[in-house]
Amino acid sequence: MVAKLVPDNIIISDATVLINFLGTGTFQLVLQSYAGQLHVTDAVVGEIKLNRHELDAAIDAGSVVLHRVPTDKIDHLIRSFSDFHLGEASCLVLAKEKSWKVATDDGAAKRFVTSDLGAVYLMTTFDILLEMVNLGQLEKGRALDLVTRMDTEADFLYPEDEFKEFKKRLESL
Amino acid sequence: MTPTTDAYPKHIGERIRSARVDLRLTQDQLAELVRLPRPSISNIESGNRAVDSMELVQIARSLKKPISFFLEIPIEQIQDEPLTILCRSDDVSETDKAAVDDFVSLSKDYSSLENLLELHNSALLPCTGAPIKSKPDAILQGQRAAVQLRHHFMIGEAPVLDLDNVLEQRGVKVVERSLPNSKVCGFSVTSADFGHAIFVNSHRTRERRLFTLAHELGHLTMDRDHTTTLLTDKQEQVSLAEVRANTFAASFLMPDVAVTETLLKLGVTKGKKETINAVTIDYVRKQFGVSYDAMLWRLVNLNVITKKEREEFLPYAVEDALPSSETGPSLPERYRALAVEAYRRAKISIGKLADLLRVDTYEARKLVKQFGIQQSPT
Repeated sequence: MVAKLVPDNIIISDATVLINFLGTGTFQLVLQSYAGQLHVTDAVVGEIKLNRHELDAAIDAGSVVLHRVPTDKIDHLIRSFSDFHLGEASCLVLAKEKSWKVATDDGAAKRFVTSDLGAVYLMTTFDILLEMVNLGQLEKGRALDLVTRMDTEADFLYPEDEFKEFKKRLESL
Repeated sequence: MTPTTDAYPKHIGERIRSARVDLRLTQDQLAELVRLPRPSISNIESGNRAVDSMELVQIARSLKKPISFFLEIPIEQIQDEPLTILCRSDDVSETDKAAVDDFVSLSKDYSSLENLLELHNSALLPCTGAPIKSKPDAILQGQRAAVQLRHHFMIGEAPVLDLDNVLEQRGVKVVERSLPNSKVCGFSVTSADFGHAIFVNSHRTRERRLFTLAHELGHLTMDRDHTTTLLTDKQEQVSLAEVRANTFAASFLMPDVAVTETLLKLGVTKGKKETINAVTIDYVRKQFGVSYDAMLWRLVNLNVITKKEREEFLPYAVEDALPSSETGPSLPERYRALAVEAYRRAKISIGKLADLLRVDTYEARKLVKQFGIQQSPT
């Protein structure tokens, strides 16, 4: 499949990014800020523990679109994406099929998106925060505070280089 | 909406049941953990109701198994699988079968990690056995094989109290699991999928566990075309292969020279009963990590004491302690290290790491954070 230069304004998220925002109680802020659609799969929802009710409520309200992985496809997904969890695998497959952007902080998932879809299809927690600052939904200082909170309250995992890059981009906004 | 069972792999329900039994949970307890009605669990296990992805993720998390575990066909149903025979043994209970399922799943994951990290660490052990002609021949073969394997491992004559680590470093997978009500002490398997692997029931004394490990190592090295063996509490030395494996274990754990040297340092002279006493024997057996009884037999075989003297010393045996507390299923340390390394190199995702470590994504994140692990840049 040839990657489209400009992906659809739809993001499908795996658990890594959701855990950051749900864990810090800022998930609603993301939903309010983002103009496109946010999609998740049921396997990803199954991974969420902390503040799951916020995600469930957003799904019920229609602000997050839920996709069910057909039961008879689970086996194929697990075998084809043996280096991933079912949640991540289902998210990556849908993104590839539909040409959606993928929201993930995971290195293996990022590698997959970059090589199979193109870097333009990748969004990380840092990208989302920068977008919110760019749109005037979040102040720069609060964006940095939020990273600290994600770090301590949600065990946000990121390479140090990406954090440096985030700060640089944040300053330039 | 309840998922239909059309085109649904029926064995998923059986695997859920196996994993639940392995953790000794009731259907009620599992239902509570995954917030489903108890009849739903019953229907899922019997294949009358399919699980959806969300439920499967939650069930896997609650039962501390990777999702891939639930997609595999139970060992008992695979005709060509050597452990199938073991599972059909009268000595193997339902709980034991569940432990065998988990053992196989873990060994496969272990092997996948080694391949992913290009470690190629699953080299087969040297095969030193030959057809056994008689009981003396079985004993002689066991003794020789023990000497040869110690030489192969380059571990000299010293006691090997950490045999599990020694084996792990040489590509033999060692899985321990507590089976309190089981007759099973351990079993071993040589598989095309994952090489050599040994299971040890950790609900035994430390000394018994070490001997079981060495006994199974004996089977792995001496039984040509070894597929699987089972060691139980009630097992008598019915076959010459068992005699050979036991001799191997005794010789491997208590090398002739090392035992003799240890005794000499205590002033014990062969054939002079007055120079040896129960305290000496207890001290020596602790040096080698074996039971009092195992050391007595070794002393008989090394002609330090006679069989009659053995019987005289027997009443002074100190009972070895069972593990003080029952812990949950534990993972081999090397396996855990490999899983984290695969994550660090971004060869697996954080969700997969959680799967491999039998924890949820939150716990995996916490662990990675705790050790300051950062994934390689993409």
